Amino acid sequence: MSVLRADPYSRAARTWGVRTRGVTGGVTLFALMFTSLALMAMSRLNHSWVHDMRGELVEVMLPTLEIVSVPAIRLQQMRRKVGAYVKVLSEIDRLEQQNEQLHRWEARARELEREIARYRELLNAKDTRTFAFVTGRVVADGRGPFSRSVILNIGSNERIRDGYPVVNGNGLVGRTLNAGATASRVLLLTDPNSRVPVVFGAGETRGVLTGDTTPTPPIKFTPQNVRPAIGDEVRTSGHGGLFPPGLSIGTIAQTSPALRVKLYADTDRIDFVSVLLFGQPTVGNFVDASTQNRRVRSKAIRTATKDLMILPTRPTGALRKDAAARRAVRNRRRAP
Amino acid sequence: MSVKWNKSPTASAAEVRSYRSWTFFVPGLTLLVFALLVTLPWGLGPELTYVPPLLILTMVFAWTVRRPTLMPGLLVFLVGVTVDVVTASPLGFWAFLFLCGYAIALHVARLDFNWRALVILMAYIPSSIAIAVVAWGLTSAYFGQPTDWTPLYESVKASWLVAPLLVFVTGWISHRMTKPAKSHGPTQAQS
Repeated sequence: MSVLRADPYSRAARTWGVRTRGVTGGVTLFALMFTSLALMAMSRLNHSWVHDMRGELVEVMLPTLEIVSVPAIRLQQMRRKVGAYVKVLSEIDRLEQQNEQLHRWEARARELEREIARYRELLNAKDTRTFAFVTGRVVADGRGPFSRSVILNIGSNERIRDGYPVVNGNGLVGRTLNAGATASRVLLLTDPNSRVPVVFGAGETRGVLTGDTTPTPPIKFTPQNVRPAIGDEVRTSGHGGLFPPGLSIGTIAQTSPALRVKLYADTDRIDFVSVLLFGQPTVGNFVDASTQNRRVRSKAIRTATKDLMILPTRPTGALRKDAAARRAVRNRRRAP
Repeated sequence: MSVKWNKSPTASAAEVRSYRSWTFFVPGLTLLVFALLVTLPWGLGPELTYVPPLLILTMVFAWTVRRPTLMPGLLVFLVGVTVDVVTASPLGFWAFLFLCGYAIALHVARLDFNWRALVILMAYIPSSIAIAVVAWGLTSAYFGQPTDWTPLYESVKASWLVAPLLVFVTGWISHRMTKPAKSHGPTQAQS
């Protein structure tokens, strides 16, 4: 006997408006398949409607994802701890050796620190490498055939905008993308769309770290006749202004046939990350360039400019004094 | 109101109807909850990136073969779009693949068989291979060049390992759903 006829829920299904006869497809299934393919084509064309809808859906799903992600993160932490306990005996010998080396390095670092402080004093230099940051939790894993990204439970309500660098305890993880009000997506360094200007080796050779979905992304656009050594450190160069210079990324893991980097941050196992509030105070940084919808874009520009006005770089009183001083200079020049 | 069907041989026809109405949503709800659970950050390796969506596909397949009338195509489509949003895939990618699996499962559901769990598994293996080939084709067409098929191959193999468990779970829930309808005994009106 057919399963369809034997199903005691056929009557209940009819009550809820589901057709039991002809459920093997027909027009509805064909229409849904066609819609799916049409949506895919629109995604390929990077249609603004698809982009906006994706952001809206993430915002809607965030509260649920936030609640259900708690056990997943606990499990991940537990697994890490169990793994550490299993490896503990073999690790002791290695750590003892490393400890000795670190003691020597510590002495050297203190010496260099004193030297740098003295030079800073001589040059009267100010330290500009201090960023405000916001820490958030990964609530969904967006790793698939098309992208390597994760969703965070923090968004523009916490002053996060598109393009901000994201780090964890080990190093750079990626940058923010599609920052909504309460959620934002992080484009990981391993994503095929990720491009990060980097420097590596003692000669500070330049290159571009390009994601290719593998855990060891390659460095491209390097000068010819460069011979980096395995283990050379790779850091952000700061060129282009998207990332601050000097953020640790990883070490050179392979030199031939392609130059590949072993990342410090394990992008497959991320739970908590910090978003550095680093960016040029221009409207372009605050508005996603792919948003082609005029209304959405103009609203975003208004919000961004409002933010800039709310957070002036100097106190209002000081600005007023500056303006008065400028006016006075102008008047003095105009005067015969 | 809690209704203990197994212990109550004198359930009224109305109670049976209400129970059926409530359980009508069980396959859809389990699928939605499962879809949310597998997209959480479990820390899977890069070679297993396709596994979570393929597990949802297994669930769609198992439920559709067991209860085709309770698994509407629209729900399968919506679950697919949800997975697309969370995994940052192009909208419609997983929705299309889930609908392909759904269409195959609807045809399997029309067959006459007794060993349902075994048949589901036997039908799932070639179906998953076919869907993996379609997935590879779509990904390659999207990028305009042949993509690496190894993660897909590894993930399909991994999904075969988990498939028996999901088939068993859906079977158990399905059995629990049917039980009261079959064994409610004489109704209150009759007694």
